[in-house]
Amino acid sequence: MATILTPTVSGNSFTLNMSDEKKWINEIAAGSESAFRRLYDRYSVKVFNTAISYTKNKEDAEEILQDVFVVIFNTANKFRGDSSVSTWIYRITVNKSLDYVRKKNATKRQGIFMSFHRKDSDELIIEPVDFVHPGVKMENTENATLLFRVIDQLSENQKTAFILTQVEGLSQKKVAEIMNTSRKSVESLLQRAKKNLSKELEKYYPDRGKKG
Amino acid sequence: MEEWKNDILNSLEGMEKAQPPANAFLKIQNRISNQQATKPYKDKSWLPLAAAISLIVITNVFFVSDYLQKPSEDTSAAYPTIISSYILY
Repeated sequence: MATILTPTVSGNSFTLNMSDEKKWINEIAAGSESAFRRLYDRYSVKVFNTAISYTKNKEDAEEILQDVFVVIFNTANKFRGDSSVSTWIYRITVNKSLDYVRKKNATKRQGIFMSFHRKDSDELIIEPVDFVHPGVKMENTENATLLFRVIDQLSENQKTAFILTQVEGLSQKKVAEIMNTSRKSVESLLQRAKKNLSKELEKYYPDRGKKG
Repeated sequence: MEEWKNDILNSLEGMEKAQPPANAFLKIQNRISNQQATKPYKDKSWLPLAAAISLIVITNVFFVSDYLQKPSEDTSAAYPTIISSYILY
């Protein structure tokens, strides 16, 4: 019978369960559904929340959640254990999410190109997606919506560092492992991300500061 | 940095985790079973043929290399006889 485990927020809390998780991966490689369920119960919330920060859409985040767990099931026999299971899962999630964003942007560009040829449209209107993260506090909803609008202006690495530390609440050390880089690099990416977000906010909402 | 920008950048503090849909695991299981059902059948009937061809090639290589090596051994052995048969007393 599958044990339901409460997913935890901090990345560091996984260290205690690392050997358990590696055992589960071996069991999944051998075709165990109960081990797969245990891993799903522990990581589905994390995968879903990471994905939703990139996609800004529940349905697409669910699609990524499914993709990630199908990949885990299919490649469990190839997991060498060089990194922790959580690092491996976060890597798959980030890669799948970035692929999704790239594909969506390519489709959007194609759409823009097509609209140039449409006779009935006089001007091109690109509407930003108004995404309200379901977990954001009620009093922060408006500000969080503005933040998610400008997050897309960041480079992929800056966006990943920002999402994993600020949204997922992971430590810089853990993010460095996931991004296969040093902690210093993550710190620098995060600083640049915040600086760029600040610039973008000024650009997008020039009157907001004056009002306040 | 102005306060309004700080407020926006810190607006994710204390946020709760979003829950994935309840039936997501079932959908994943369905996708896995579907991919297993549609996995292409690996036809291995070519294996005996490949083994036979390999055997023929290896045997041929062995005999050809053996044939090419033989004449040098034979000539070296034959010379003393030939030479001895032409000795003039």
